[in-house]
Amino acid sequence: MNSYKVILLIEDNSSDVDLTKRALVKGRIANQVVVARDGKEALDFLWGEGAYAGRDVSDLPAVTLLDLKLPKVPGLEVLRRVRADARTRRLPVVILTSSKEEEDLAAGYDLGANSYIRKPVDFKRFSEAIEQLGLYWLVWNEQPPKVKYP
Amino acid sequence: MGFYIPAGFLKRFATAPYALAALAVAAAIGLRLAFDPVLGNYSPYLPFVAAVLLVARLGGRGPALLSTALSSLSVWYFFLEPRYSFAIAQPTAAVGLGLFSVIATALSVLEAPGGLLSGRDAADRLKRSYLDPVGAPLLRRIATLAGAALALGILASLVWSGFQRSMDAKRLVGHTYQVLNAAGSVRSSLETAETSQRGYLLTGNDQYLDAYESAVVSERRARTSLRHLTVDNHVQQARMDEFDRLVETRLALLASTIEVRRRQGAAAAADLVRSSGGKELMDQLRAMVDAVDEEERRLLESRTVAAGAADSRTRWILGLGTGSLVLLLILAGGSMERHIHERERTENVLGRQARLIDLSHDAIVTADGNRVITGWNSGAQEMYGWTEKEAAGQVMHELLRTSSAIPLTEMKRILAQEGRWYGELVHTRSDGREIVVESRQVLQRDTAGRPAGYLEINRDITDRKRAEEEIRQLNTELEQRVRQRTAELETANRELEAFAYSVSHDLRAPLRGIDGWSLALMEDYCGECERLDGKGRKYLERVRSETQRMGHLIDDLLQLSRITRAEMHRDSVDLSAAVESVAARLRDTHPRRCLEFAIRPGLTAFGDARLLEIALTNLLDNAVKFTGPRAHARIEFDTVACEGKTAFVVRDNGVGFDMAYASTLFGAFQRLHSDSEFSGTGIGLATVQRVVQRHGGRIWAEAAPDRGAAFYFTLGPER
Repeated sequence: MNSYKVILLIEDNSSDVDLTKRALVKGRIANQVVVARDGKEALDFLWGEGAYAGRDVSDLPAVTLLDLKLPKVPGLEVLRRVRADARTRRLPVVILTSSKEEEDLAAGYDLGANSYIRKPVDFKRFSEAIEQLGLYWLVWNEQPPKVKYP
Repeated sequence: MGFYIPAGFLKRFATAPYALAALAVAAAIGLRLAFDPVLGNYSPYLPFVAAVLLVARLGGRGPALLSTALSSLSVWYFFLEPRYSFAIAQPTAAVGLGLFSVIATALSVLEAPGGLLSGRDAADRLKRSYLDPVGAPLLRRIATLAGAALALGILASLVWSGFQRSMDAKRLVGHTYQVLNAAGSVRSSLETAETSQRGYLLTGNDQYLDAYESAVVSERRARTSLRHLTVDNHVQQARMDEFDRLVETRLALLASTIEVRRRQGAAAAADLVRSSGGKELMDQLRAMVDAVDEEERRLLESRTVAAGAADSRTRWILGLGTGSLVLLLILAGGSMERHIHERERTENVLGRQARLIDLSHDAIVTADGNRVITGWNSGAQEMYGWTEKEAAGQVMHELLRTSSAIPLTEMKRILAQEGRWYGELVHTRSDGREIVVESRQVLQRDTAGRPAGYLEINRDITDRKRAEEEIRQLNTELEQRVRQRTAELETANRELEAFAYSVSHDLRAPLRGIDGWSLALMEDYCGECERLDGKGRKYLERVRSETQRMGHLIDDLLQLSRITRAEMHRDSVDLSAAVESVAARLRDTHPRRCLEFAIRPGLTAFGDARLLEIALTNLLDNAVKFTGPRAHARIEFDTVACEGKTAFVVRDNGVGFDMAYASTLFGAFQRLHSDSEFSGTGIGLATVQRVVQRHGGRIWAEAAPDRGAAFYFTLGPER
């Protein structure tokens, strides 16, 4: 179990944030949810910069739920930088977005997304998806080893 | 040191032509000698002129000059008085020899191949340059005329001399007759004198004395005349002296007997007659007259023969001369005829062509070999502004100030080589305005191959050129505009894509919120606490269903716009397989339905696989949807022949529709059924139609209420 690990939710829409949190709770996933309202904040958290200075960056979230349409730094750019940085390149990233555009799907996978989920309008189905997602990444999935620093 | 002779020298002086020169001169000598009995000393040059001409033609300049030298020497030695020696008797002969040498030298230079008069070679050389070969024919004509005049002069002199000889011979014959006459007269006068003397001796009648006196006078006259006549003949002159002596003796004897008769009487006279030997004297005289007679008759005979010979020679010369004249005339006539014919031919051809097309709007211009304008039709007058009178005699390209994109020398070269030329030229009109013409030029040659005339047909294409230029400019502008429009369209497309992206993301987010919070309400405020009753719960259900419907609407709209925007990737597509996979999916999503699919295998089309799959999915979705009320749904995929093309068809046994509304079938958001009957957004068929249209095809439907529906579509040209 990775119950001590956080879930990083990168989402600017507060309604979506609350509903996602609600779905996680409904799915009995108790892990702490860290919310980043834009790409910049997300990167600050991951790399221990800005408001998150001093955070142990080796402590990666169990899973990151990444929206694509974000203020400041767009989602795909966040993904690219995360993968480009040695500290975060093993971070499990699930793209969670409204877009079904082929270009987004292709770019997401090309940049190393671990999964791509489209948010359905039907919240029931959305809850199911979040529930299963939490179950999969927090229960069944083996976490990547920590990156060692010299 | 060796004696070195360059090979070229030997080659240049190849011996054969020189041998020919010597041979020709020898032949001329032989020929002239053969004609000696006829021609005598007259016209010694004729065969040698022929020999020089022959050698010049066949052997070239050097041998011709050699033959000239040999001919001069031969004439000098063989035929000029005194003959068979290099002495000159008359100064006119020397002048003649000099004249011959000059003429023969000129002929050698001019007639030799490469010389100015040597026919085709010269013509070829001149043909290459653009000068009209006026010089050569003129020289040639002058030479021919001089030759003819020379021949005529020689002939005339021959005939004249022949007549002279004839006349001389005849005069000599007449002279001989005169001599004979005179001799006869002397003889008869003597006899009359003797007879009269006898009569007086016998009768003593003075009448006889008168006759005697007159006979003596006439005898004296006749004898004087005879002496005069024979002054050219020394034999006769010698005889005349003797004769004179005898006659005087005889006359003296006669006079003395008459004197004796008068004084002493008849008997004394008779004695004297008997003793004086008058008879012997008379016989001597007679014999002498006979001898003179004899001599003159011999002369008469030889002179008559000579006169006959002179006559016959004159006839010969006349005959030959007439023959030569006739020949010369025939040659000259032929040449003139040919010349005239040639000129007429050229004039006719060019003139007829010009006349025939005088009414043409094209400028038709004829020019001579020097490009001097000879014909100018009304089209030319109209095009260039000059009348025919003004243009005639001017040099074509000088008058029109011809210029061209290609060098004019190149044009002339092509025209000379191929006889025709075609291209564009710029000409200047009489008012100074430049016009562009499409020019066709033809070169006509005479039989010797020299340029005889040009025919030029020019069409004014200034307007056409301007129009072409305008079209070219318009095309450039159009291309520019197309590029601009394309760029604008690309920008619009990009904006549309951004818009669609935004729609798919931003419009869906609040919908999800509405749905999510509605569900949260239902979950948290219904059930045990009952803060929301059943009616409120139903309302919330309505909110959620409407929300989700809007979500579908957005998704369908996005798909429609994506189909319109998507790039086409055409390939061969197995439609049967695509329908099979859609059918399988539909069976999975409708496990409780009884669905029968009849799919003809192996149907292929050329198109975009992804778009075609979207279209087929929509059609089959509809078929499944509208067969909902049927216990047993049957859906077919097949082809039919339609207007020579293959149309694909998706047919079902569903509820169908009224064909009266078929026209609105393929419009977006158009529905034939209420949402309570069959759910849907009304975008499916619009999407199918868009796909078919992008493939260059056509879609149509056949249906009847409750009797099923069939959707047909074609996919444009097969490839």
